[in-house]
Amino acid sequence: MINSSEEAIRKVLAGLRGCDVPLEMEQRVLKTVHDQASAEFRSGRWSRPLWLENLGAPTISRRSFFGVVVTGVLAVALATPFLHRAHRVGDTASQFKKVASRQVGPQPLATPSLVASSATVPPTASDFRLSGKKRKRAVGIARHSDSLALRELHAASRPAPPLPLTREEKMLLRLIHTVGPQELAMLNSEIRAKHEAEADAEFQQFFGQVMAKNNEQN
Amino acid sequence: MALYSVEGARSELDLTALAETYSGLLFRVAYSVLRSRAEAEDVAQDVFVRILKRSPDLLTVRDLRVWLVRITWNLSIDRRRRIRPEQIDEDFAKSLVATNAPADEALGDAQRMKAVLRELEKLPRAERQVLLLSTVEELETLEVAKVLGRSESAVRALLFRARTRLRERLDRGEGK
Repeated sequence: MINSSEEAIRKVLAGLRGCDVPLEMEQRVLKTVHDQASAEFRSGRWSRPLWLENLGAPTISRRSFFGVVVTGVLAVALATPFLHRAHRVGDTASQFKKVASRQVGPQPLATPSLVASSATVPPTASDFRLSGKKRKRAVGIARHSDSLALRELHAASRPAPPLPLTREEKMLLRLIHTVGPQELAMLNSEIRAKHEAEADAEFQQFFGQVMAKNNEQN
Repeated sequence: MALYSVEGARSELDLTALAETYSGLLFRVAYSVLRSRAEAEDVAQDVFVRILKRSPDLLTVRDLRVWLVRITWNLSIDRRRRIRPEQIDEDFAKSLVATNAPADEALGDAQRMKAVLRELEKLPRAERQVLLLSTVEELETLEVAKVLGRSESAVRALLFRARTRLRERLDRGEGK
C-alpha cells in the first residue's frame, strides 16, 4: 500500500528506471536496418558515389573539394626537394661505379672502407632542411647505392673481347657451317695453292693493265 | 554482420557496433517517455534507420552518445503525440502494482501511479524532461545537460524543482 505521494513518485521513477531491454532487441534493430539498407540499395539510391553527390552540393562541398586539391599541390611541392635529393644520391652512385670500372691493372684495389668513405655524399643545404625521419631515409638510400657500387667492384671480370680469327680458323668456321664441295676441296693444299695462283693471275691480269695505263698517263 | 557497413563514406560507420553499444540506452530513453516496451523498441529501430540515412552527417558529430540520445528523445516525444498515451500509462501503472496485493489496495495504488504520471505530464517542459531523463541510469547529469543544452547546475535545480512541484501537486490533489 502506497501511503504518500513521495513514495508513489519514487515507485513510478523506479519503474521507468528498472525497465529491462527486450531480449534480442539488438538483432531486431540490426535486421530492420539491414532491410532498410537493402531496400535503398535496390532502389538505386546508393548507386552514386558519395563524393559525386557531394560535388553536386554547393558551397561547403566544393570548398572542401578545392581544399583537397590545394593540399595535394602543397604535398607535391613539399615532396619535390626530397625526390630531387634521392635522385642526386642515385646519380652519385652511378658516377662512382663508372670511376671504379675505369680502375685497371697496377692501381691498388679500393678497400670497402675506402669505397664507403669515397661514396659518402657531403651534406648539402637541403640535408639540413630535412627533418629526422627524412634524413634517415636519405642516408638509407645512400647506403644502398654504396653497397651496389661495392658489389659491382667485387664482381668477377667479364671475359676479354675475342681476337680476330686467323684465316684457317675462319675457313674452319665456314666449313662447319656451310660444308660445300669447294670448301672441302680447299682442304687439299695443292688444290688450294692452284686456286690461289689462279686468283693471283686473274688479279694481276685485271689490275696489271689498269696500273700500266696509269703509269703511261703519268 | 559486416553488411551493415555500407559502401562509400557510410562504410566508416559500423552500425553493428553502434547497435551493440547504444541500443539499450536508446531503448531506455524512449521508454522513459513512452512507457511502452514495443513503442520504445520501435523508436530505437527508427533511430538506427535514421543513422543509416544520415551517416555522412554522423561523421561530423562530436558527441555521438549525446546526439543519439537527443534524436531518440525527439522521436519519442513525437511518437507520444501520435499514440494514445492514456491507455499506455494505465497499463504501465498496473504493471507497477504488487501482484500479491488485495484487489482494492491494488486498485488504489494503480490510481496513485496514474495520478503521478498525469501530473508528470503537466509539469513545465524543462522540468519534465530533466525528471524523465534522470530515470535513465546510464545518463549522468552532465550528459543530461548536454542533451537538453543546459548547464549541469541548471539541470540539478530543474530536477529538484520538478520533484518538489510534482509532490506538491499530488498532495494538493489528494487533499481535494
